[in-house]
Amino acid sequence: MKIRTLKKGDVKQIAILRYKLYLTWDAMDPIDKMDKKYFKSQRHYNFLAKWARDKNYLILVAEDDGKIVAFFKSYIMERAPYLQKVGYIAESYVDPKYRKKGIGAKMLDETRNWFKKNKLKWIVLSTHVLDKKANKFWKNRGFEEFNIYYKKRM
Amino acid sequence: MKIRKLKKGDSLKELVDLSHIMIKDYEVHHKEFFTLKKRFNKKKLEPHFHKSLESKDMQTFVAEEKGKIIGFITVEVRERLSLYEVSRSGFISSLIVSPEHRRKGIAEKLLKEAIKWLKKKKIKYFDLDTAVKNTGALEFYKKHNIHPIKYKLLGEVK
Repeated sequence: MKIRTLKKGDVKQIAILRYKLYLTWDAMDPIDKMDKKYFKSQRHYNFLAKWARDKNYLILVAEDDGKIVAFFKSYIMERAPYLQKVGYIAESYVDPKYRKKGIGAKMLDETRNWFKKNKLKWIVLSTHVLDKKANKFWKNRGFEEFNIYYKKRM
Repeated sequence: MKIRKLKKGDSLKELVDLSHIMIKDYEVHHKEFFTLKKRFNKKKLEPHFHKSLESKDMQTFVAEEKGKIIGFITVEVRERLSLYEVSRSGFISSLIVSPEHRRKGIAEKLLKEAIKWLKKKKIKYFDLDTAVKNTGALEFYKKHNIHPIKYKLLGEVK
C-alpha cells in the first residue's frame, strides 16, 4: 500500500471512486439528486486534472498493486475576509473491501501534515446526518460537530 | 413592524451592527474558530449589503419598526456544481433579529418573504446552516419543517 498524490494517469480510476462516494451521499439526501452521467464525462476528468495541478488542492490516493483503493480530496478554504483560512477535507473515500486497515487514518495524517505546512490551524469537513460510519470515524479522531446544514424543498 | 426590501439610503450601520451580533454569537459557540481577525473592522461587512442592493441574485429583506431596522434576512441564488440535476438553488446566508425583539415572530415573517422571492425565481429548494449550539435557531427550523441534512465538523490541525 502506497499513499501518494494524484497523477494525471489516475484520473479515470479516481472518477469511479468519486462516483461511488457520491452514490452513497445521493442515497442519504432526499433532495439533491446527482447527474450520474457526469462522472464519466470529459468535464469531470478535466476537473480532476486541474485539481491535481492546483497548489490549493491536495488529492491523495492509496494505491495497492497498481489499483487505487482510496482517496482524500482537500483544499485550503478562503473564508470571509475577517475570518482565518481553514483546511477543508471535501471528500474522503476508502473502497469497502479495503476498510478497517487504517488507510483512512494514514491519509488523514498526511492531509494534516499538508495543512500544517500551509500554516492552517483548523480542519473543517462535512458528513451526512445519516452517515453513521463517517460520523464515527471523525468523532473518534477528535472532530466535533459545530454546524448543522439544512435543506428545504419548496 | 414592516417587512420590506432593503433599499438605497437605508442605514448600513444598523445592518452591520446586527451582523456583528450574529458573528459574536458564533464566536461564543466556537471561540477560536470564529475569532475575528485583529484588524476586523465593521466596515468590512458593508460591501456584502451593497451587493444585495445591486445583484439580481441576492436580496435582503429588513424588518423595520419606528424607522429602525430590527432584523433582516439575506437570500441568494447560487449556481450548483455541475454534477447535480438541479443547477440553481437558494441559500439563506443571514437571518438575524435583534435580541430585544425576539419571540415576536419576526424571523418567521422574514423567512416567508425570502421563500416568496425564491419561488418567484423558480427555485426548487434552498439551504442554510446554523451553529449546533444555537438552540433557538434549531427549534425555529424544526418548527418550520426544515430538516438537517449534514453536519459540519471541526478539528484542530495540531
